Amino acid sequence: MDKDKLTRAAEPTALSEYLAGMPMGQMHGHGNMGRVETVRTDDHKGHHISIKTIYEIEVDGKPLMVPLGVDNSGQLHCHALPNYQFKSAIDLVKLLIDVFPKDFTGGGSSGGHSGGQSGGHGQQDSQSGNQREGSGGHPHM
Amino acid sequence: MAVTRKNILNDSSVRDKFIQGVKLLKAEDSGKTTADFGIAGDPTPVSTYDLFVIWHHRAMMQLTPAPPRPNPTGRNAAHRGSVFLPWHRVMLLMLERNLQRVLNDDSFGLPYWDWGATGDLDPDQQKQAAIWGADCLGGDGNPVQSGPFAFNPDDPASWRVRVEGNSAGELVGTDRGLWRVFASSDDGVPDLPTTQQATDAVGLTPYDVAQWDVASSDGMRNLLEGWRSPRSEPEHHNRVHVWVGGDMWPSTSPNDPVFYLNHCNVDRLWETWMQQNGRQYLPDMTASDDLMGHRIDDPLASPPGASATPREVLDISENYTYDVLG
Repeated sequence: MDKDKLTRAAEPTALSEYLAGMPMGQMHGHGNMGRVETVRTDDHKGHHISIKTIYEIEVDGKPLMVPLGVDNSGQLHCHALPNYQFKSAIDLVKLLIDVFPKDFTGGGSSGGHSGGQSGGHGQQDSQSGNQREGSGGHPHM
Repeated sequence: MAVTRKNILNDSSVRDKFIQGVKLLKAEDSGKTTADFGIAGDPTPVSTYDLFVIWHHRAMMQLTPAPPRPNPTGRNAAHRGSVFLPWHRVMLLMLERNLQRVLNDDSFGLPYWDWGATGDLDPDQQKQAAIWGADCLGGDGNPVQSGPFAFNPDDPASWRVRVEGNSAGELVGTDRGLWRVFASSDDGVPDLPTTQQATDAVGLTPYDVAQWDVASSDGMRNLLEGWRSPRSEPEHHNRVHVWVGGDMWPSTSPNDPVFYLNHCNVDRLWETWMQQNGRQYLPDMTASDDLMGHRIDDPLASPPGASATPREVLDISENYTYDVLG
């Protein structure tokens, strides 16, 4: 790659102008009032398959907007949690609660997957994550 | 002249310059505010460092192909597909240029963290490894309380996260310390990838295979990115993100400088693979338009535009080399 072009493109002004013009994102079913619709399609022996799945997600009775998708093996992914795959939408939402506790005000700290929200942003709890105990098991992949 | 990228644990001068450099970029005003990037809330200045956080998030949210074209596995402009390695190579190159600029040192090369060597340690020792020392990246906590990125609410110069994601996949402004949760028992993994696992990835051919996404059943890219796992866990690159935890979990993971050390090691492993197998890349331009953004001559989602394609970054020998290949 041309070094001069790279150097010019790396200038903060060039990078910031590029980002300001970058699309805001075209995610999977971003949801509307907690309702996410996904469509999987495939072809088999001359037949076209289409499977529509609708998720209506609420946490504490409030609709949750989740940018999720479902692949043809039935696994879920969420663009807010880029390094995970999920077999279960429940596990996906549990992890969202753990990683984004500011988005889930209220709620108790006992039981459940997260063992509370001590690991959340803005908390003043050193080493908290390593000491949390939850229901065990992992949501990943 | 090409710079040499070195193991951060083997060169204290490079280590200290990396820390100094990212802090200088964090303190440098880009001239833009959060409002310029459509980030909700009161407009606040955006640092040059945080431009990279926004870039990574935005690329991740750009589906390739975009709806309504079929993309069930969520392949995006930087991840979950063939372009994962080239896109991050460009990101690292651009950060490296900025580090050279603020350090006034054209010979500076971005260091890497050989996480396989740390992963060879006992799991309890991994949390206490040299990389997390107070003279290196510091430890975990919420906020991090040791090392150069420790949070001090009374010190405006201490490391602060200013842009983060939310559960809806949107960027929001914030002002808090860095968050790490090593080997979280709830949301993490117990250990890092090992040297053997890194070697296994580099030993795979070809570069990538159909379906060119997280479901690719063979090929080096999907294993190194971390989607192929016989134990149904995040592996390799993904596993490092998940093990470090906290700010390394969401799409804004460049908030933690360890992001760059992880990706520099991933890039080193890719370079190792190319030294062994030639500068090959797949898919080529005969592939369907549904793979637009991942084919060899497609522009990467990056400021250089059309001049940055996977083909253009296969040979980076004019820019940098590694002290040791994997």
